[in-house]
Amino acid sequence: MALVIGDVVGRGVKAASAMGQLRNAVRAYLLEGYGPAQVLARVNRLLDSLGGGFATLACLCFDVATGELRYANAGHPPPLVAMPDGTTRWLEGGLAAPLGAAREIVYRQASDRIRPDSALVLYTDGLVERRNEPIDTGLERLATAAADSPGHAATLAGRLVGAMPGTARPDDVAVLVLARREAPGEPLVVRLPAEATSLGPLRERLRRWLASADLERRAAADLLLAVGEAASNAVEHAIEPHPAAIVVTVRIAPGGPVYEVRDHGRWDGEPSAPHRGRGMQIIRALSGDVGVDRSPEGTTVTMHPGKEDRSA
Amino acid sequence: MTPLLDFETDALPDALVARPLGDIDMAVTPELETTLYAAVRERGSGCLVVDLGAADYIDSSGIEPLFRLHAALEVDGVGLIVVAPPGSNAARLLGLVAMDDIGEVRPSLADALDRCGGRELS
Repeated sequence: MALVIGDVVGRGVKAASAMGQLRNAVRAYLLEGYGPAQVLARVNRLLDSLGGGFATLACLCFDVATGELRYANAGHPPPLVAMPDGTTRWLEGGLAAPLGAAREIVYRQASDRIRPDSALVLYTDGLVERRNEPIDTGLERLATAAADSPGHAATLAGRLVGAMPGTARPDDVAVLVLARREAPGEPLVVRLPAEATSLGPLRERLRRWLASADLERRAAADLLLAVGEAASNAVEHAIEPHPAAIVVTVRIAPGGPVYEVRDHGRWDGEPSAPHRGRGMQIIRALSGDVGVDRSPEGTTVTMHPGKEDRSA
Repeated sequence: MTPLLDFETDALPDALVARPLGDIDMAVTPELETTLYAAVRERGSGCLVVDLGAADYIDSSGIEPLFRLHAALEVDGVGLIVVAPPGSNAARLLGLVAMDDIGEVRPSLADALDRCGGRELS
């Protein structure tokens, strides 16, 4: 998937037709398989051959499956990424001169990744520029407005436009938002230090992932418990190397969730404290098929969908 | 160090009610145990009710202090009653494996307090 946003210098029919030509050219080059930087270099040459002009353009290629982003920027204001933790960052890589600034311009590709539950915001300077105000103030205002859990693309776009007051020329404002949801079926992989204080953050990640995984409430709570028990065992038995890590992988299989908890310690499910053996009992009670694989590198507990136990 | 565990306590005539809130796991176990012991010692109550109904998460590590607490309190003649309302995470956990050595388990606070009322206070 490609996202392109641009702004032609000038107004009226001439500018509109120039933008139309640029848009078709970008589309054609992208369809030919050129990457963002190559597209911009070619469009710049094309613009020159059409008699010149001046435009800013950001071209981004987004891999829907992985969230990988490749982009290049011809003098356009930097795209913004809003992350689920409420922070934002600018995509400032791959920046070179606007189209038309020189006959030959070398554009370089930058890359990034849009993680699940994040949003990518593209806009024109009409959104952030105000008379008697440095552009940085507008950019800051935009980042602040986006710094809230992004949610749906349309909601975020509406919020951004609403938060940017005094738009002098509404026809000069364009906002394009791409929100990446946690893709159902995409496995969750969490790697944390093998410490008791990791268990809370681990559950937070699991809860967020489960919220989008379309599991019924009870099944989600059971998964949280089973993974929690296995991770607690891993914390208790983690020995070498320091700092040892726990790696939890969860995915939804046709029969239900499948999860794996890997650590670098050695434990065999036998109780180390009078009541600790219950952890393994609980895992077994919650999961139809439990595999415990011990090797010198550590222990891996694999759990497959549980039997239909809906008691309690 | 900031406490990891949020707690509500109610000192009632017949019982001391402790209600841990949020997630109860290995990270908060030591704090849970210390807080409960301290509360009982200070109060000298004849009955300690641990209401697990408000726990967003509880696992076997989180419940571990209750085993030790039960054993210790029994010596002093203090009763331990655990509240695990139907449908709660605590009820789910207790339903998965037999845990008959954590004291009495009751489905509601009212139920637990009824039991305390009939108890011989130490």
